[in-house]
Parts: sequence; structure tokens; C-alpha cells
Amino acid sequence: MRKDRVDRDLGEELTSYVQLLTEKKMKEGMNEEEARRAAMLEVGGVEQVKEEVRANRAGFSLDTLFQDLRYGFRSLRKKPGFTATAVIALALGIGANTAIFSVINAVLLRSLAYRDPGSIVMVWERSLRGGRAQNSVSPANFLDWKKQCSSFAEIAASWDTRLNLTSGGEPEEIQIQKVSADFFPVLGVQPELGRAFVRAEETPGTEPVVILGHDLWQRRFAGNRAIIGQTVTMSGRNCTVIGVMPAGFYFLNIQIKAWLPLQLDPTTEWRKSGRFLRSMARLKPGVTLQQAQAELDGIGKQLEIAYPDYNKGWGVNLVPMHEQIVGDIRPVLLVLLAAVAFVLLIACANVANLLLSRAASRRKELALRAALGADRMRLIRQMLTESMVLAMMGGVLGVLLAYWGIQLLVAFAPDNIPRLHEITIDPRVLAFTFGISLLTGLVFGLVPALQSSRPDLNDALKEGARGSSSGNRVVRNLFVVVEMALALVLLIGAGLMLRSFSQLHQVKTGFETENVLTMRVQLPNAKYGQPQQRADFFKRAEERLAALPGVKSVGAISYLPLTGLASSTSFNLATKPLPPSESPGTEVRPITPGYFTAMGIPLLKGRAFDERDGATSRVLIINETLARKFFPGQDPIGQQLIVSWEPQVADEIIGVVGDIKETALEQEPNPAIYWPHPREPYPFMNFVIRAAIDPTTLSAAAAREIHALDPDQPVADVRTLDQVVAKSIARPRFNALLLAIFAGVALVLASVGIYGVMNYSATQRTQEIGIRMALGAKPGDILRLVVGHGMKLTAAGIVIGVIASLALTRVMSNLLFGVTATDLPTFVGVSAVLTAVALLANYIPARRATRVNPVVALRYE
Amino acid sequence: MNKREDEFTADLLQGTLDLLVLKALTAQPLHGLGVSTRINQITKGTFDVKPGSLFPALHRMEEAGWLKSEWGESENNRRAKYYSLTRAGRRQLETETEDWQRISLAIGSALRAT
Repeated sequence: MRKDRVDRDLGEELTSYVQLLTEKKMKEGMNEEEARRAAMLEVGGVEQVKEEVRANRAGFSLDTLFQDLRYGFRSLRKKPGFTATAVIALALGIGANTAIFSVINAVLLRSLAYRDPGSIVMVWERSLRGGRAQNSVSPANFLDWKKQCSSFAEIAASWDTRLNLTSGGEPEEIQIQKVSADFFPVLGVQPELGRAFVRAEETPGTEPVVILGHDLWQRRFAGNRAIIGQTVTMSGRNCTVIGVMPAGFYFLNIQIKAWLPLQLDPTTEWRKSGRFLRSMARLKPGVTLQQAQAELDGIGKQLEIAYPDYNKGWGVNLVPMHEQIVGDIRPVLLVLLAAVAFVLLIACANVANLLLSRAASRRKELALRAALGADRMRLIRQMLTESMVLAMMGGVLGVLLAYWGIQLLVAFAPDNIPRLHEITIDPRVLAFTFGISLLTGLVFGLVPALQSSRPDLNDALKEGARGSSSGNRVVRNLFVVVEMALALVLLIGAGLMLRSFSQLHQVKTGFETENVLTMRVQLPNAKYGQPQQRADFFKRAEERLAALPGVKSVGAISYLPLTGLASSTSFNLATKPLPPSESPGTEVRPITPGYFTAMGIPLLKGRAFDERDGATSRVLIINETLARKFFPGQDPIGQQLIVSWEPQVADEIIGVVGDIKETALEQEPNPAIYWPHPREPYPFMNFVIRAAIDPTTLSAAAAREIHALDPDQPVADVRTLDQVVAKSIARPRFNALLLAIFAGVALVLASVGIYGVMNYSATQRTQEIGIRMALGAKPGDILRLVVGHGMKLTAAGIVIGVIASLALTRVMSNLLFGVTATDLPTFVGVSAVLTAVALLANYIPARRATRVNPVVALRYE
Repeated sequence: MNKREDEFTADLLQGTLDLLVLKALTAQPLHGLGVSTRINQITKGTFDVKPGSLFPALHRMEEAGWLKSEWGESENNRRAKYYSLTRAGRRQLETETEDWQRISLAIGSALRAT
């Protein structure tokens, strides 16, 4: 408003100047008409003077900005097709970047929801012999560290397990974390209601207490604040609720619904048991990670000397909390970020090309503006503003795309991606989007602006709308080459991931997954304290399930394969025992007799378990790997092993079964020992139900059979074996899917880009083509001419792309399975696909060019 | 072509134009044409300030706070915008005058040197 007034004022001032000057000249003896003309001549152009004055005013930048914005919007509105194409391309690029950045922001950048998270560390045992840097922790070693280490303000331990919750609704198996009293102080988080644990509650035999998670409290207890002090029944024990944690609080495992005190009896000989704890600590102020690590290295050495049987070859390994949570997801995210950056660059090249083509048709307009007094800077600013308007429109649409993209991403992402639920579009993400939108506008706008603001006004005005300088053409061709190269790199990256995933998918599991239902049953200790009770329960459950119509066979095992869980220990050949620290490791899997049949694992030698093999039996079954490694060329049947869980007895091998992929599809099987369940009667077992029909139809009936045995007994994790396997490779599948989507977008953008350029250059060459045809060129010749040009660019792009890929895909090698980062079939295949798409994108405009009527073309001026 | 010359003159005057405008306005408020006529007079016809240089300078100096302006009536009853010096403008004239004298002495002696 003010600006308008100032402008009007200036107009009046200049008019008055002209009048005064005219009068002055009339006084000097001119007649009125002469005087007026002379005055006008002296002033020059009123508009030019105004322009100069404006340029000298402080508010100048803002004024012209608004003016340019208005102008930009107007000229964009005049070309809706161009605007839409450009905005969509940019929105795809910016949207993809925003989505991936929002993931990076939540997972990598945002600090953890603990107090001073930088000084929290995980304390792992490091197994030198097993090559495991992050091994679970022995309670004995944990207690010794706690006693001896001075680097920590607090050190705590936790152990994830499951309980049956029977208060506040249907019986439900929930995951809980048993934690020592220092757990909450280490993380620096307080309950939102009630109190945290006190040290006295670490003593076994104290009255049981529980802290509820916010979600569980809301869901099962309706958020009732009076819950504090009340008791809830967990696995048959009445626990007093002492606190409720704030919403969103979790530690490493988001499934945890409640916390109970971890009670490590100091009188227990923990060095006879396994390593099963997680340990975390808060560094004292001023103590660095290196200092703490050095101190613990020393303590670890002493423990090795003091307890060689248990600790030889074991050290201590500190891992910063943040690293622990995001360490293995970081490379994937960085690869994805690179991928979306490429998509955005391609979009930029595309829009830059569109702008260049458009600038050519706007030359007359620009030349006119220049002639009317706009200097070159002014024109560049004008064009850049227009680019910025485009970029911002792309940015706004991009944020919308990202918003939906993130919903999809979170919905489809495997749940083992850390901090997934924390992904949001927060101010930092918006700032990022705004920043890249600006940058994008600059990147794609600058070259066209510089190109088309060149002051060869005469030529431009003469040549009319048709002209296109050769420099312009070179730049456009260059953009096409760059686009092709970028798209190729992305396609190769995606191709490698897809091939890797398909390799993974084809890995033989060693068992048959079709038509198998699985479910977990965990018996509460309070009710099933006696080993015999547990053995009986699972025996009877197996019988009942097997009797269901449609069921072919039923078995149960402690941990299902490919769920990442296993019990491990060491063993010895009875004939040549080694000291404990040197004896080989094995997984131990308690199973019921029907397990191998239900899983379809072949029995290679000997027999499977049956009802003879009870609690006192001294028999076991080994897998092929153990047989091959320890009994090469011998018959293992009848040989004896000593499993260190029961070092005083030797067990006889009665069977050998086929190897299965236990830990992960990409990992070779470890030696494994199967025990009959009554021998080591775990309170939880996973049922495997092989059906003749669709197994999911059996889930209700299967749960009913369990309830028939114990109405309070929940079943959990009911899913098919196919789902179990699929879940184990959910992450590589997700990575491959995301990269494939980005590469697909890149391919579309790049082919639209090359199509646009070819189409434009064919139109530019209409006259030339007309002459050629008039001189006798056949449509085939023309086709070759136009397509040949495009394919030259494509070939250049592919060569550059292949070279770049060879350098870049190396960073992905850790994410690949079964293919190398320079996999020849992928490189060749992807190049072929890109060539084919480019050929098509070239062919359509070339085809159109051949239909040119020479007479019309020659007149085309 | 015309524009070129204008720019050239403006460039030549860049440092001195402000000084001349301030000087022209010391005696009395003047409108645009008055300022340019006065400059022509006091420089004995050496400088002929064209609107393309004059108005940007006037507006810039007004924004800088050296000049103030108001609409008034000209000698033959035309509406015109009159510019006058502010206190800051007078101070500016003093310092610029001193600077100019120092520089012109220095240049003069430099040119006399052999």
C-alpha cells in the first residue's frame, strides 16, 4: 500500500517536473509544443527514471521481489502444462527427500528421549573366540563391574521376558523388562505417576511390584490414576503397581509393556549359568568413553585371570547408546538419502531443461523487457524468482507427498527399524524442505536464467520466437546426459538390492513353510513351578492340537528359527573333553517329539524323539553341521557328548537331522543340539502346526484347545511359518522396495526429460528436416538422424553412469547378499532397460518428425 | 545510446552529485527542476544534472535522512515537491565539503608535482 502511494507520488513529481521544464523552455522562447517535446526528451523515459529511483530505494529488493513474484505467478499461470509438469517433477524429488530426511531426522538426528543421552553407554561382553562384539552379559560379571568400575555414575542391567497378565481383561501375554533399581536413573527418566524402583526391591523375596507402561495402563486400566497401590495379577503373582511410565518411554524394545525389578540373588553361583543380561551405564561427568573402556579392559583382564574357566577369551565392550540404537540402520539410510538426492537432481535437470526450452520461446518477451530498461541482473532475478516460485510450489506439494509417503513408509516398514514411530514432519524437516526447495530453485533456475538473459537483443528480436543459440543446445544435451547417468546409478543400486533380495528369498531354509501355523505359549511360573507340570502341559497340548481336524502334524520348540533368538552353550566330545574356555559352542533347542515332522526337517540318521525320551533320558539329536564338524567320516550315532548345562552327564547321540537356517537366511547354520522338552522343560514353547488346509483357519480352534487345558493361559504370536520367514527378511525387502520405487521415479523423470528434449529439438529442426526431405531423404533417414542424436546422449549418459556406479555401489556392499556390488548381469540388464526406455522416448518425437510436410516446413519461419 | 551517455554522466558525478545537491539546497528549499537549475548556475554550466540521475539521488538522500520533502506551490502556481536540508543533511554537507577540499588539494598538489 505504502509502495503504491510512493510510486504515485513519484509519478506526480515527475509530471510536475516536465511541466515546470516546459514552462521554463517556453519562457526561453519556444512555443508550447516544441517546449514540451524538448522537456520530454530531456527527461528521457519517465518509466526509466522511475525504475532508477526504485532501484535506489532501500525498499527496492522487497518491492521488486513482490513484483517478480506476481509476474512469476502470472507467467506460470499462462502455461499450466509446463507449470504442472515442473511442479510434479519437483514435488516428487522434494517429497522423496523430505520423507527420507524425516526418517533420518527421527532415527539419526533427534536425540534420544533420555536425560543427557550422550553419556549413556551399553556395556556388552565381547567374545573374542566367538567373534561377537555384543554378547549378552553374565550376572556375575555385571555384579563385579558394578563393584569395581569407577567410571560410571550408575550401571544397571535388564532382561526382557514375558508374563501373562490376567488383570484388567482377557488373559494376555505381555513383554516385560526386568530391570535393576539403577535402570531409571541411568536413563534419567522418571515415572509420570508414582515412583521408580528402590534398591531394596532388588532383593529376592520382597513383595512383588510393577511399573506399568503408559499404553498398557490406558488400554487395560482405562488410565485410572488410582491404580497406584493396587495389585495386578501377572503370571499368577499379585504385583503392586508402584508407577506408570510416561507415554513413549521405552528402552531398546518398543514392545515392552511393563517393568519389574530384576532380582539377582548374590548367593547364586552365576558363573555356572549363562549370559543373558543387557547392561547399560551412565558415565560420570568428565569421564570419556575411552577412559571408561580402558578401565573396563583392565577389569575384564582381572576377571579372566580370576575365573579362567568362565571368562577366558571374554572382554568388555562399551557402545554409545545412540550408536547402539541406530548403528546398523545408518548405512541403509545414507544409501536411501543418496538415492533421493539423485531423484531430486534428475528432477532439477528436467525442470532446467523445461525452463531452457521455454526461455527460448520467451526470448522476445525478455528482449523487450531488456529494451524497456531492465538490466541483465534484473532479468536474471526475475527468472530466478520464477524458478523459486516453481520450487516452492514443488516444495509445498512435496511436503504433502512426504506426509503420505511417511504414513506408507511406517505402515510397510519392518518393526525392527529403530525409532520408527518417532518419524514426524517436525520444524527441522520443514526447514530442510524449505532449504532444499530454495537450493533446488537455484540449481535448476540459474543456468536457464544466465543462458537466456544474454544481451544479444538484436538477434533475439530478429529471430523471433524460434531461435535457440547453440550454447543453449549444448547445455540441454548436457542435462540429458547427466539425467541418464544419475538414473542409471539409481537403477543399478536398486537392481543390486532387488537381486540381493531375490537371492535371499531363494535360500533354502531347510524346512517346509507351506501351510504351517505357529503360536507361542508361555506358562506362568507360579502355576507351573514343577518341571513335570510343564512337560505334561506341552505333551497334552500337542496331543490335543494334533487331534484337530485338518491338522497333519504338530510339534513345539523353544525358539522358532529365524526369529533371532537361541539358547547357546558349549559342549565336549565325551572322548576328548577340552577346558571350558576352549570347548566349542552350540545351540540347544528343547523340542517335542512331533517337531521335525511338523517342520518338515529331514531325519538323516537314527531316530527322532518319542514318548520314551523323558526327563531323565540321556539322549540328544544333532544337526548336520555338528556331525560334519565333529564326526567327519564317522557315524555319530551312539557317540557321546557332554553339554555344559549338565557337565556331569554324557548324552548319547540318537539321531542326525538336516541343517536349517536358524539365525538368519544369510547366515550359515551353527552346530545345534536338540533335547527332548522334558529334559529341559522350558516354560515357553512355540507350537508348529502343519495343516492340510489353510492354516490361518485353525487359529481359533488351536487357541480353544489351549484354553481347554487352562482357561487362564493366553496364546501369543499366532502366525504362519511363511510370515515368520518373511519377517526375518522384512528389512532387506523394505530396502529393496524403497530403492526400487525411487529408481522407478528416476526412470520416469529421466525418460520424460529425454523425451522433452528430443521433442523440442525435433521441433527446432523442422525446417532442416523439411529441406532434407525435399532433397530426397526418406523417413527412415530422418528417424535415424533424430533417434541417433538422442541415443548418442543416452550412450554418453550410460557410460558415465556405469563408471559412477562402479565407484558408488561399493558403499552398498554390506547391504548385499549373494551379489557383488559390481554384479555384471545387473549392470548389463539395467543399462539395457535404460537404453530401451530412452529409445522409446526418442522414437516418438522422431516418428513425428518424419511426418513433416516439406512444403509446410520450408515455410515455417 | 542515450542511456549509455546518461549512465556515464551519472558515474562521473557519483561522488560529487550528493555534495552538489546538498550545496544547492543550502540557501532555500527547491523543487527538482530548481535543484538542477541551481546546480547548473553554481557550477557555471559545467554540470547539467538530468532527471535520470537527479531523482534517484534526491530519493536516496531523502531516505538517508539528509533531505526532507513536501509538496508546495511553484512561482507560477504549479504543484511541485520541494526538498530542503535536514540537520543531518547540513552536517553531511560540512563533512563532505571538508573531505572534498582535502581531496582536491591532494589531487591538485599531485598533479602539480613533476
